Amino acid sequence: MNPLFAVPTADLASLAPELLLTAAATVLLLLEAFAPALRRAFVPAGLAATIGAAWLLTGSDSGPAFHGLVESSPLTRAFSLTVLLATALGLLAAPGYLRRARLLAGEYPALILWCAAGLLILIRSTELLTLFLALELFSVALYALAAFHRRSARSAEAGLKYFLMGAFVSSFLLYGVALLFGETGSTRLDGIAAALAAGNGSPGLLLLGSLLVATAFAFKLSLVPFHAWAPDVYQGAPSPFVAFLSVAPKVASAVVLVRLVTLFADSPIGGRWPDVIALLAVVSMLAGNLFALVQRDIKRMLAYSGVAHMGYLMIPLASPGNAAWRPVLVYLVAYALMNAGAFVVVSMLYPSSDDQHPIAGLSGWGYRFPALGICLTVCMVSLGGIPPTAGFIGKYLVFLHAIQHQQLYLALVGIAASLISVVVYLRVVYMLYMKPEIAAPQDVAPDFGGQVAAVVAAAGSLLLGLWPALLIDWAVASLPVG
Amino acid sequence: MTVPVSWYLLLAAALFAIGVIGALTRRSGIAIFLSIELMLNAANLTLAAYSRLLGDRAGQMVVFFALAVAAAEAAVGLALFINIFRLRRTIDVNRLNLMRW
Repeated sequence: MNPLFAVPTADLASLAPELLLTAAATVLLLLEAFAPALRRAFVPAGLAATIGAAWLLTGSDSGPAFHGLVESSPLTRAFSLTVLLATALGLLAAPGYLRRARLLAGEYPALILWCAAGLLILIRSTELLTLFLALELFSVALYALAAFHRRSARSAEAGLKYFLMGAFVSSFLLYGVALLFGETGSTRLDGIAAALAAGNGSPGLLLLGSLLVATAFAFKLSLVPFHAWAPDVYQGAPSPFVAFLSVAPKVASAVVLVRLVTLFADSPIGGRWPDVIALLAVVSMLAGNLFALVQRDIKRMLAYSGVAHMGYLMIPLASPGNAAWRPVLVYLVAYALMNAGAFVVVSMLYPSSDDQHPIAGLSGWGYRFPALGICLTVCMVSLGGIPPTAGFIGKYLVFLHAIQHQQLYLALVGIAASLISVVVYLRVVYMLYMKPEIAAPQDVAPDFGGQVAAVVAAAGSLLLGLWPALLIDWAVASLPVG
Repeated sequence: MTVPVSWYLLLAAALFAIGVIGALTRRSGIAIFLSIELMLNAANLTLAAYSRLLGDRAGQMVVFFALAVAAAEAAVGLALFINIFRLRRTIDVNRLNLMRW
């Protein structure tokens, strides 16, 4: 056999979680074509595949695979598990919504699983082509999912806008990859780091290339000024899908951005990188929360709040290094629980036409749906960073990191932005409990799976806020010391 | 005398710039998508030219993958165009504005 095509079984084994996810997705798609009678079992099967992938992941070995194109380490496993947590929450909430909207089909879980596989590979990739392919694998699936509510003009518009902006930014990424490859002679991150340290290539083109690559991930994180897609896509796309979209791609993109910024900031072209990141963080935190303040639609409000949260997440990156991983991981786990939880509740409390989601539509519903009301309240309190919730722990570590690295101003801006955001989130709680109760539209009926997802997310946010040691010890054990 | 590799790089940069301008100024969704394809192919040309310059075939290999990705993206994108045309009878992005602010 040609040695070029001889793949060691150990390499293949290290891809087991991704292989399981893609295989399950393919089977689901085929079942949709040949055994549509089994439809009700499709989403639970997808959920089982997600849990299976998480199980395979926890048992996988560390080290590079496929000649160093991907790597596996406790760090990648921790972030991958966060992605799978968001996937599971999104899938749990899906069947009830899809049935109400008469959209139940195998394509939905299949696309979500492909997307999760792409995100897992993205987290593990240490080479630019792998990075590009993983990004495209999950992006193409996301475009299709955003337009999944195919009889809704808003969903179609969300899909089209996301597609056009996403494809535009993908070509930036490819051009950036081309420039970095041409000027350093390598597509591997370690090879690029070595070439940069040796001073190879033209500094101008290298800087352009690195900025183009970073732009693609700033877009996926919806940092200002690359956030324009988020509110429209969040509003138009199916709500349980937004629970996934607003969390999982951000986890993986944040990992890549931490890697890239650490790589570039240590190199001769990297002098200004921390300043650029700090600027993005400040603008995203302030603009995100201020725009969130004036929204009437809860999904758009959460979209802008997501922009602000990604701003907070960028604070540790303004002083890159191994110490930045811990606040990033803790923040992302907290964000995954509270944000996915909020969208899961939203997916149950608004009609399946999913066009408008006025915050005023929740008037007095804390009494009509007590369990969901409490879950949404916990998620909102956590998003606002109020103790005792996971959101507070995340923000605390982020601001602490800034203060420890002599960037007090970032912490102060972050705290100011959090104070604005408290108004944004408590407005929802106020609507739930302090306003007269209004009648529910006909097809609002919370389903079992969605309620389980909401309770898991809210209980998780509360538990990790009350016993932060659970989360922080896990993060410390997973991450490199720094 | 042969054409120097830097000319290919300049041509690619010009194509990329044309693509960016087209994508930002066009109103028809299809025209925007064409401009994006132009940008992708400019990146491919850059990769191929650098590959030749460095004598490293890795760049050309990336091009093959990028072409396949572009085809997959086109398939999903055109399906989205058809879906929105069925619902709205237009693919003019200035008129696709049900959602604002």
